[in-house]
This record gives sequence, structure tokens and C-alpha cells, in this order.
Amino acid sequence: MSQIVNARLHADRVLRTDRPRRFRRVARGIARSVGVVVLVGVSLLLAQSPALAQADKLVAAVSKPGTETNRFWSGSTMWHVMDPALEGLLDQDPVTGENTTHGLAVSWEASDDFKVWTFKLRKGVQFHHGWGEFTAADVVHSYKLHTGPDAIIPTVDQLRGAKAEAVDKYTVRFTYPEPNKNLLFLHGGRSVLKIYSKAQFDKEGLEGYDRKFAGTGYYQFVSRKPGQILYQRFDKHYSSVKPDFRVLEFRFVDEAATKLAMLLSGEAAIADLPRELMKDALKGGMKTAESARAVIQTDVVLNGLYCESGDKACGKHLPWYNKKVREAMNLALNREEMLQVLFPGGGAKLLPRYAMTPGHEGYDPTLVQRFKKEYGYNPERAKKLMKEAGYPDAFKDPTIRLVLKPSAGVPEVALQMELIHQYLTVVGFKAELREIDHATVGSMGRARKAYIIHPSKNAPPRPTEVAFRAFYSNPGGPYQGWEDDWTSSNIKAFRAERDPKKRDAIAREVFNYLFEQYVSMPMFELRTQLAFNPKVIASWQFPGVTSTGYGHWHTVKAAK
Amino acid sequence: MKRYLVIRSLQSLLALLAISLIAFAMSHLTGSPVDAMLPDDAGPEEAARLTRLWGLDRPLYEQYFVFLGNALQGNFGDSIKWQGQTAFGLVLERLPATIQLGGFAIIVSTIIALPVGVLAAVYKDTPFDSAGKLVALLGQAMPNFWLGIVLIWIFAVHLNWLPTSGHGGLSHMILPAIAMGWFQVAAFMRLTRSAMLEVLDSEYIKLARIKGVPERRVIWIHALRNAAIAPLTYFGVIAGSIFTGSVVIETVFAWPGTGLLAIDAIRGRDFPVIQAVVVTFAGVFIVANLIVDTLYAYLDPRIRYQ
Repeated sequence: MSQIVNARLHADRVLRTDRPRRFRRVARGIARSVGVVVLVGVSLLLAQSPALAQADKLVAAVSKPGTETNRFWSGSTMWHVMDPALEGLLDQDPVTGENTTHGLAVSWEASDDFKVWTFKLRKGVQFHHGWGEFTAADVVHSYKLHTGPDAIIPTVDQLRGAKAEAVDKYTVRFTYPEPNKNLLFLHGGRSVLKIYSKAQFDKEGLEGYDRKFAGTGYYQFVSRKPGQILYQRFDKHYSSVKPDFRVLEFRFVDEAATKLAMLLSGEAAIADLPRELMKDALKGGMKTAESARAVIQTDVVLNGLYCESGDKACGKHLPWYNKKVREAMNLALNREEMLQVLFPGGGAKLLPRYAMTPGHEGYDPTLVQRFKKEYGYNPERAKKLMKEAGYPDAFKDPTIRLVLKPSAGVPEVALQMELIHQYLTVVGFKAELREIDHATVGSMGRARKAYIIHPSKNAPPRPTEVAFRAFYSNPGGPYQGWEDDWTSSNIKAFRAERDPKKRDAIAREVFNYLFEQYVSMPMFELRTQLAFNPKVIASWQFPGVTSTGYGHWHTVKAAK
Repeated sequence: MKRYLVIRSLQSLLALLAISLIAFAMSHLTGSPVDAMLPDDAGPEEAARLTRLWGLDRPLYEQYFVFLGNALQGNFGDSIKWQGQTAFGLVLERLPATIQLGGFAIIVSTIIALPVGVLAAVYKDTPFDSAGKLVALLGQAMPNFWLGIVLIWIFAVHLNWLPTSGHGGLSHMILPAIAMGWFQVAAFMRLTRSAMLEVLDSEYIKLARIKGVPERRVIWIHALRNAAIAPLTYFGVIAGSIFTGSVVIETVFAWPGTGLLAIDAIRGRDFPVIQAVVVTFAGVFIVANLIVDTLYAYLDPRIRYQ
């Protein structure tokens, strides 16, 4: 027994006395090893340091598109990354945003009843990868693809229904059973029909498109990897304009801070940053490129007012069913202050009436003038109106439920909803914020049970008829909230009317009515802004069309 | 041992079946992909057309059995969000990137954590031990997305040594692997240290020393083998989570792995991809745990004889 105890003591003594010496030895060994690893690592890394944007290569760090596929018709929010290779019939002027005759169609005309549309096509246009000349047969083929069963592109329901035929090699005709007055918007601002090669499809099928599709754009498709698309300049493009950059690479990055880091480190030359990070980019020596025209209108929808006669879904129980409450909610908002907080870098202005757009039918400039007086910040009047409406006691559930959800292309929306929550609370509304994702709001809307208040956007600003259908009709889109007999009958009259002056008058009357009814909380009109590195890029002019708001990559001018 | 393995394998299959049912039910509970995929202005006709096209108008049980039947043949259906690609094909496409990053992170964390944990136990209460504890504290206290962004700003933006993000060579892996692995280093190291402290105090270690076994052998062979059970169990847990991808790290570093795929599929309510991802992830977890259990039984005979 005593031997074991002695042995234990001996072992403990050995360990104790030996510890500092062994510790120093081990520490020295570790330090040496770490030193060697660091040296080798640094050497290796310096040897393969990140490639800075080269003069002939343009790297753009952009938000991930809604879908990642080469099949444009069965994707969403892909314009910004498909635009380099795929063209529609109509091109837009990068400065004015208007449709031009510089694209695949050199002229077009509609019959008097807007049922028959004829497009004359450009001759001598070549498809990428040697797939031959572009003809009317390619348009008919692409139309079939874009209106097929798997098509989900926006507004496809309005593109459908036509008999598409090749009149001759360079003339294509669409015949609709009903007037289609908005076809130019679908081909232009919406850009829902992209032209693919029929010859490639006939030989390779859809798999050929998935592998390496051929378009007619300024850049041709090279490859697609998860999180990346690569394009190369197409030197046989019919235009005299030649893009400055030989290679165009898109990298899909969701995290805004990473995109900013890519820009500042020189890995990317362009990034679609949220506006809150734009000032950091500018501090880092970057510049901003802005769309020629406003791309997005934002609104806060007072949903659930499905109140045509006899509609059981009408949210009569909602506080905002009462017009005085709707007015009070609008007057509680200090929009000027919100503009400063949300968009310090500019590119945004107040919107007097959602879906009313300069140049479109029914635009009424007097509403712009009336806006400050009738919608301007006036908390005292808001409180008075609330009292007159009997808020909150007259309501079984006076809670104002605001939805906090992200909005593609407008990351400021979350903060906007938080600010609205604060403004409403200050004047005495019982407001609460709820996180609900976009698709769930859509589900609720389709079920006609969206008794909530949520942000919405009109991007690109739709023609009045399309906007009326999407936002103020039954059945309309799921992200709308206003239906009543007066609005429905007038929109119906507007759609039936063919005289432009009468149409304009009806639309104007509808906008005035919606304005006076305070049917929603109109917010802002935004231009698309992107940050770019002036050492790589001298300028970039793009029109501001489609839902993503930017494109026309061939107009990016390289810095000298 | 053979019986033990058979029972564990059958349990794993049962778990996989249960998970497939849960994955199916949960994904369908979130709503319809029609709402996620259709544009804002799409009318009810478009919604109805797509619902029919994607077979979502059929009864749920029917959809489940179709899914199960196809899944047994390795067919999870076509992706809704990534048109032209199969759901399982997408998982297989993204898996290598995740395994690459996860494997690198595990190697880095094991290489660091194991020796540091052992040495921290051997040199308990010395500056080395304190430094180890500090590293562990930092690793467990820092959110990995924050650490990732800080690393990007230091090493990519300011020093310009490493790329900010993306998938490429070794240089692309270093920052995400550190951000991903630091937490594991901390946890792994603490477990190793505490297990070693317990073992080093045991009688058989002292006996080995008395018998004159070299100290290096005592620590790295006799003590470590017995102390390895706790970290090994934890290794099974982290291997599963690391090999199924980190949503946060893959998002911050735009790393095109399965974590990012999973979150994109969930956002888009791409049911086939969600189900393929979940079942594959479950498979990875189950296999990882099966391996750990087997090793466990190998290391500790009491377990296999129970």
C-alpha cells in the first residue's frame, strides 16, 4: 500500500516539476508551427489573390434573381441577368425609356380595334453560337414558349390568347379575340417576350436552351454555375454599338454587406446595393448610376375592403373600413421625414396616388398639388378624425395590423413599415407589426381574407388599364384591397371605351375618387440606383424598365 | 456487434420514413408555391392553372404517396424554382460545395481544437489554458454571420489578401471555414479539455505513469482514447450540421451550397427541392450518427454488449 502511495506522490512530483519546462517546449513548438503555416499560407494566398476587375471584364454583384433558369418564360425577376443575351421585339431608349425602332422590330401597327398587331422585323440579325438568322418563325416559336403551360412570367395572362403567325419571313402578326391595348407595354416596359432560336430548339430541344441558349443580344451566354452567370460580347450584333467590356459576369449575392465589400475590394465593379449602404459606397469612392425614369411606385395597401354590393368578404369590421380612419392614418404620416430617413441618397419622391403615372391614361397633375393639403402630415387633424370616427371605442377590434415583409427591389420597406407603426402609435392608433412573408400575404389575398395592411409595389409602373385590373378590380391581383360598386362600374366603362379622350377622362375620375376615398397610403416613386467603381466604369445609362429596373448592359462605358 | 448494427440501421430507415412525412407535411403547411412564384398582378385563372400544372389540386395523401413512390426511386420531381433541373439533381450539384467547405471547416477545427484541448487539460491553469479558454469563449460568443462579415472586411477589403465571397480555390474557402469552424473549435476544445481532465485524474493513467510508460504515450494514446467519447459524440452532431450546410455562412459568403439551396427553396416554396434537401440532410445526419454510434461501440465495448 505504502509503495503505491509513494509511487503516486512520485508521479505527481514528476509532473509538477516537469510542467514549466515542457510547457515552454510545447509552446515554442506550436509557435514555430504556426509561423510556418502562416508564412506558407500568406505566400499561397498572395499567389492567388482575388482577381481585380480587369479592363475587359465587368463583374456585377447583384441580387439573386427570383428563379435561376435559362427558360425566361418559366422564371421570375430575371430581366437584369438575362437582358445581356435575350432581346424582345422592342428596345427602349436608355435616356427617355421610350420604345424605339432600334430593336428586333423596326416598326409596328395595331388595327383600329387593337385586336391585330403587326410587327415588321429587322433583317440580317444573327443568333448567337451560329444558330442562323432571326426571322418571324423565331417570334412565333418564342410566343408559344412564353404562353405555354409552364409560363409564369408577369402579365403572361395578357400575352396569351393570340394567334401568332409569320406573315412572311420578316413580318409577324398577333391576332387577339379581344382588344389588347397594352401589348406594347408587354413587349416594351414589361418585356415579357424574349426571342429564342427556333433552329436551336428544333435540333436540341429545351435541353439545348438549358445548356447554352442562343439569343440575339449584345452578349452571348457562356455558362451558368450556381450563383454565377458568364456572358461574352457578341461581335456580330446588328447594332453599331459595341459594348466596352468583352466579358460580363454576374455574381448573385444576397447579403448586402458582402456586395459592398466586393465593390470596395475591387472584386466587382457594379453592385445593386440597398440605399442605406449607398452612402458607404460613396464614401469609399464609388459613384451611382440611376435609371432614366422612375421604376417603382410603393404603396401601403389597406387590404380587406372587398366591398362591392353583396360581397360577404367585405371587411366591415376593420377600423379602416371607416373613411375617417383611413384619412387619419394618412394624415398621421410624415412622408417628408420618411423620405429623408429612407432615401438619404435621393432617387425618390412622394407619390400622390398609387398606380397613377405621368404619361399614362388618367394622370391628373392637380392631385399632385392637392396632395400636400389633403395627405400632408397633420397629427392634430388625424386625432380629430379619429375622435369623429369613434376610434377606438366604436370598433370591436381597433387593432391596426401592419405587415412587416421584405419587398424585392425595395429593401427600405421594412424600415418604412416600422416608421408607419410609430407614426400611427403617436397619434393614438393601436398598431401592431406582424412578420408575414410575401407569399403568405398572396395566399391570404387569393382567399380574400387579407384583413391586414401591407406594403405593395407597382414595378414597372403599369399602364392604367393594367394597374386598374391588378389593384382595384375583382378579380384582381391578391395584393390589392379596394373594391366598391362605383370603382368597379367606372373601371368597366373605362375598359369598354375606345375613344382616347373619354378613356382619359374616366381614368382621371377614377384616380380622383380613389384619392378622395383614401383607399390606401400612397408612399413613394423610386428610380433604380446602383453603385459602380469609377476606376473601372465611366458611366452607365439605362432606361428603368421591367420589374428589376436595370439592364442595357451594353451601355456601360469603361473608364479610360 | 452485428446485431447492434442491424438494429441501428433499421431504426435509421424508420427515422427516414418519418422525416419524409414530416418534410412533406411541413412544406405543404407553409402554403402554396403558386403564391411564391406568381407575379403580384397574376389573376385567379393563372393561379388555378399553375395549381393544376404542379399537381397541387390533388388530395394531400395522394401527393404524398406519389412523392414517396418516386423518392424511393431517387426521383424527387422537377424543381419549380429552378426550371429544367430535377430536385435531387440540384442537391447533388450543390452538395460538393457544402462538403468541401464543411470538410475544410471540420479539418481546421479538429486540427486546432483537439491538440489545444488536450494541452489545455495537461497544462491546466497555465497561460496556455487561459488562452485556450479565451479562444473558446470568443468562438461561442460571436455570432458567425457577424464574424464572417468582420473577416471579410479585414482580410478582403482592407488587406486585400482573400476574396470576399464566392466559390473557387482554397483562398475562397478560408474565411467561410474560419467563420463556420470557430464555434466548433470552441465547443470541441472545451469538451476535449474537460474529458481529458477527468481521464488524467483516473487511476489507470497514474498506473501507466508509474509503470514508466512515456508521458507522450500516456497522454496521446491512453488518455485521449478514453477521453475521445464525449468529443466524438459531439463530432457526430457537428458533422451532420456542417455537411448539410450553413444557411448563414453560405448566404454571407455567397457560397453555393446546400444551405443556400435550402433557404432559397423554402422562400420559393419549391416543394420538390425542400423535400429532396430535407430527406438528403436527414440521410446525412442519420449516417453520421450511425458512424458515430458504431465508433462509440468500438471504443466502448459495454455499449455493444448491452
